[in-house]
Amino acid sequence: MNTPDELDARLRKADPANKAKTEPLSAEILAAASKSKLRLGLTQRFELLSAKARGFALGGLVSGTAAILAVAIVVNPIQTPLIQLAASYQGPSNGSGSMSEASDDKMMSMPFFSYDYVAGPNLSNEGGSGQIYKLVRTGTPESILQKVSRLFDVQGSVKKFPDFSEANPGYFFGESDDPWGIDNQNPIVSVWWSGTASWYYSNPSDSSISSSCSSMDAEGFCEEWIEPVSTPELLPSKSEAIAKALEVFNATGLAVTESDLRVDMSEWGVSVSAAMAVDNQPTSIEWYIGWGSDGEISYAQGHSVVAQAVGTYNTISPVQAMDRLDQWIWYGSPPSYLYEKYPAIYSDMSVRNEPLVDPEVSETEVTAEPIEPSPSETASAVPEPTETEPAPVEPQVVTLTIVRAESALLGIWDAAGDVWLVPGWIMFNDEGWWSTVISLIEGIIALPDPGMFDEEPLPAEDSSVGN
Amino acid sequence: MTPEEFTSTYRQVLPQITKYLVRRVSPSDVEDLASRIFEIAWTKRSEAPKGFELPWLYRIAGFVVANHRRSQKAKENFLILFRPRDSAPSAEDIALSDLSLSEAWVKLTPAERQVISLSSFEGLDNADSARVLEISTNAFALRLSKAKAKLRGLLS
Repeated sequence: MNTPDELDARLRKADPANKAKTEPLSAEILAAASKSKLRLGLTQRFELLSAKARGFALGGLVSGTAAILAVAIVVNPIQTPLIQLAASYQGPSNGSGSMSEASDDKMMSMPFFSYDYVAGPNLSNEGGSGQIYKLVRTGTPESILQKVSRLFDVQGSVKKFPDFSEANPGYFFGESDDPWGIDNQNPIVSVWWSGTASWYYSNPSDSSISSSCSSMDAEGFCEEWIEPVSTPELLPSKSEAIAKALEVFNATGLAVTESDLRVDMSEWGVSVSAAMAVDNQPTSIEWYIGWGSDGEISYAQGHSVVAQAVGTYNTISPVQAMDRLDQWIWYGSPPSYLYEKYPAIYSDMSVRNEPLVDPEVSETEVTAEPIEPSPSETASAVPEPTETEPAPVEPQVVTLTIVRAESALLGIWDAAGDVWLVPGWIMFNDEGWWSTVISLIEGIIALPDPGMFDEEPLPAEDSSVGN
Repeated sequence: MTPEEFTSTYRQVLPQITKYLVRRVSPSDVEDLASRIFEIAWTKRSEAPKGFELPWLYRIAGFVVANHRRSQKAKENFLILFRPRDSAPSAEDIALSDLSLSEAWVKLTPAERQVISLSSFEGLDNADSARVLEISTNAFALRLSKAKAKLRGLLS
């Protein structure tokens, strides 16, 4: 069952629609829809259009910027934008950078809420300035692959991905000519010569999460499975994992110490990660290493870039940044520690729960009441449609008070496929989650012409681990 | 676009939308969710990409299905609200045909299930699948290959 044809055939055979008895929908449904008075609020319309932007307001994983709306006080306008944002995501998805996957997971959903943002009394009204950094790729694809391959003892040679192109500059190192591992059980190292030159080591021989079959039926399908058993005794100890992570990270350009590492251990595996710091600030550029339950290193990820200071630019205050909170174009990719310290929640819930509380916000600062729609509220938010005229659907309006803001370096992609770190604010609200806002004054970042499906802000690296 | 033009344009994709929903929700919910999808499509008809209406509908349908699931499951367990969006066919439905595939399916991430579903179940080519996900065709191809490789690994 390892060839593409066999897998496709098996998937098609298992298509749940094959067994469905449902009749095709009637065209009447279209006529009814065209009579619909459904109205999407501005926030809904925007967020439905800009799927990935959903995550931004929820502690966004992605970055995106552009200068469309003049909302900030322009302290020091410049004639030519420094950064031209890209019109579509250009990052890798071959495992060397998985931002978009994480983004898709968490961002594509239609909201049932719209947000009114209110500045808390302690929010600063002082602007300032911040350094912009361009992440400049170092080395060559070949040198990166060879260096990483030596670290993991990978055998083979440097090759281009089969679909290599100028816009898709993927290289890999391994024995097989097929980097996607149709029948490949050998480890490979890949690198994406764009953005942060992210590299990825993958060892597919780890079969630790596979179930095994004890008996097959006549068609070759498993009748009885043997449940996988964890083997924690094979895993590295925490100190062993840290030592190996430090060895790999430092050898590949990430200067970190043990205190910079995040370690996650379970009976099924161990992973260690660390963020690249620039000017003593953590960024969204992350290194990872992970062990499967067989005790072997199953993946590792890093980058080959240095941060090049471009200059200091004026920034707006948190109060001024309030106006950008509902404009996805101003969001950037925050450092990953935020996700652990302040778990982001989704605002597109159909049912809202007790709000999270920012541990750094005192009780007196938390002014909003928990929002739990009563049946009557729910009914008013989503009225029952009648047969003749579906009732309008209005999002529930939620007021969020921004209680404090922290400065951070946020990641964004430009049109040339480069990643930048720009000053921004992490805006914490009274429900305990956060959004990011680029704090540069207007005119420094230029928005590309919006395309049919290219209206999204562009992701930079995030904390997700490629599979 | 007039209501007649809307009906004419989208009539031809009704079977695909039906199947999309059948794969993902219970039969009793198909019509309601389809109504929702086409109401949104009507509301946003001026933004529909000409010639790419089906991927555009799949994208809307993805929102609707994911929210529907969340709203259903949230009634049982609010923790579902913290989980990634998932609009792919469920392992339970796949298990009706292939138990071992179902076991592997559940071990994929929602994003991996989504790309495989668009390709193998919806039958979209890479370009249209990429439009659904709003990523480049190359990015989709890589993502799909990776997801399938993982699925093959889980099945082996």
